[in-house]
Amino acid sequence: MTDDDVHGDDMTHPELSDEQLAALLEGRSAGIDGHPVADALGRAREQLAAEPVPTPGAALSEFLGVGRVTEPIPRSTQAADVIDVTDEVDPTPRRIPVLTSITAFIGTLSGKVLVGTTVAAASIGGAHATGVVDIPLLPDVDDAAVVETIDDPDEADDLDVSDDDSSSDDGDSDESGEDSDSDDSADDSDDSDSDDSDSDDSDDDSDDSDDDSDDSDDDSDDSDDDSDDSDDSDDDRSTPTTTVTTPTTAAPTTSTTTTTMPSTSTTTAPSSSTTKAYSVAGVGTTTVTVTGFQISLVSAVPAAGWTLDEAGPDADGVESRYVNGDLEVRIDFEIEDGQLRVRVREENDATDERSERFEYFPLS
Amino acid sequence: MDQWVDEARRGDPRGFDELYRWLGPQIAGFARARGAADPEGICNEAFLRVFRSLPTFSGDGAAFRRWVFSITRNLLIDAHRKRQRRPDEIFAPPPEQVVPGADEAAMASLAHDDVVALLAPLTEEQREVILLRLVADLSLADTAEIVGRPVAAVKRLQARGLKRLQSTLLEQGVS
Repeated sequence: MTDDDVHGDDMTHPELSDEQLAALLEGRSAGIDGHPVADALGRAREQLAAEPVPTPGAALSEFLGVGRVTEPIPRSTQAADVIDVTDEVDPTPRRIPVLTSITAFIGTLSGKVLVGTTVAAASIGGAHATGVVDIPLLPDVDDAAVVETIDDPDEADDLDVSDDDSSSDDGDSDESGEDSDSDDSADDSDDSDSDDSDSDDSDDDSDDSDDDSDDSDDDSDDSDDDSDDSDDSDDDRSTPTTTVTTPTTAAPTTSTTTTTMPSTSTTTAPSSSTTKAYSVAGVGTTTVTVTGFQISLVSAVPAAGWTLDEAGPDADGVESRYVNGDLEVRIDFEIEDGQLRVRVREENDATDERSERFEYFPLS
Repeated sequence: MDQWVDEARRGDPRGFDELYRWLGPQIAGFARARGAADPEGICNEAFLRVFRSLPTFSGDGAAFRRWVFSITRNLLIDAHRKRQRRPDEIFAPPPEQVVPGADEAAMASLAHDDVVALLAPLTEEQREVILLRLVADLSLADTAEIVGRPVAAVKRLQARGLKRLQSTLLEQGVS
């Protein structure tokens, strides 16, 4: 028995050249019908082509013209209606109806009485607290425990409950593949906060568009979230908070500490720029500058024998790609949890080996 | 295609309808094969954005198709990010919300499972390039424009992906 006998499949189905494979991908037979790759790609093409016309959501139906559709569009799922991202976003923020209701209530006699009572109670309480008047039923000021929750910047950082969202939004998608325009800069900043670890995609920015009207709709949701986060961060970090509480024990312990404004915050972008050069021995060196949450490429220099395939911004930061025959090494930079994350991916097409590793560098 | 784009640009619903019928399945198929939990939602959103912005669009049907795919790709990136951040909220509806009559989507999903499995050995980038070429017969140049890479880089990704696909299939002895 020879090696050829063992690899009978290989004998039956020889490896195709790049040109033959490309021909198959383009739907040309290349005279190799029956080859596993030809069959697999053919089946995949058929399956993809079998996708039904998606059910249009309400907003999209307005464009399509209700009643004008010449044949019924199969309604395969209600998901598009359940998930309302497909529909027009109500331009009225949800908070406005609530505010309207409150305003209307205050306009009523009951509302006025309630508001007046509340204001009076607050005034009396405040006067009592400051010692202007003494209200017997209220605890004395001396009995109050003054609790200062933040006096150490490090602790303040630990208290941070907001996430990256507070710095920017989700980087909602850009609108066009046709035109690059001045919106790039804004979208760059959006992208910079992404913590998507597996963004395979490059250059969202190149797809930026001349139209952001819909983005603004979408962003309204995100900005709600973000503003909430910002509120959190204000409460927890930015504003020195002193909480006066009524003691629950007979002998309250009073601890008063000096309020100290935290000087740094994990969600505040570092104001200074940091330049980082990352080298993969024998492959190349990519240098980036980090300003705030924005990463920009400074240089990408291949080592001898390697060529720089591409380098520049991608959806989440900066990527660079070095190639040398069957070898390919990618060095990608992203901001993750306030750190500069470097991901190095190596591929060897000859051996089909792949590897990936990460390194993190703190940003001061 | 060019005529439909012109009609839609003028606000004619027939143009919108034809464009949606032409590209909707491709877009949904692309989104599904890319792993979107709600391919139809992605498709709806992509077309909404495109149609709303159509008055500012200049180009023919081919340019329109590139545009729609670019927006879809960006939406998929956004969806992926949001899902990572808020996995409990986004996209996938609970099973009980799937209504009767979802057979076609289920079948499409099953069919696409095969495609996903076929392309699983590839890297994300290779998969994306090959999918774009498969799902819509996009040229190398069009694909490069959509993914924002040089044509040479896309060609290399494609070649690597196809080689890997071939080696996987030959190893499995699929015939």
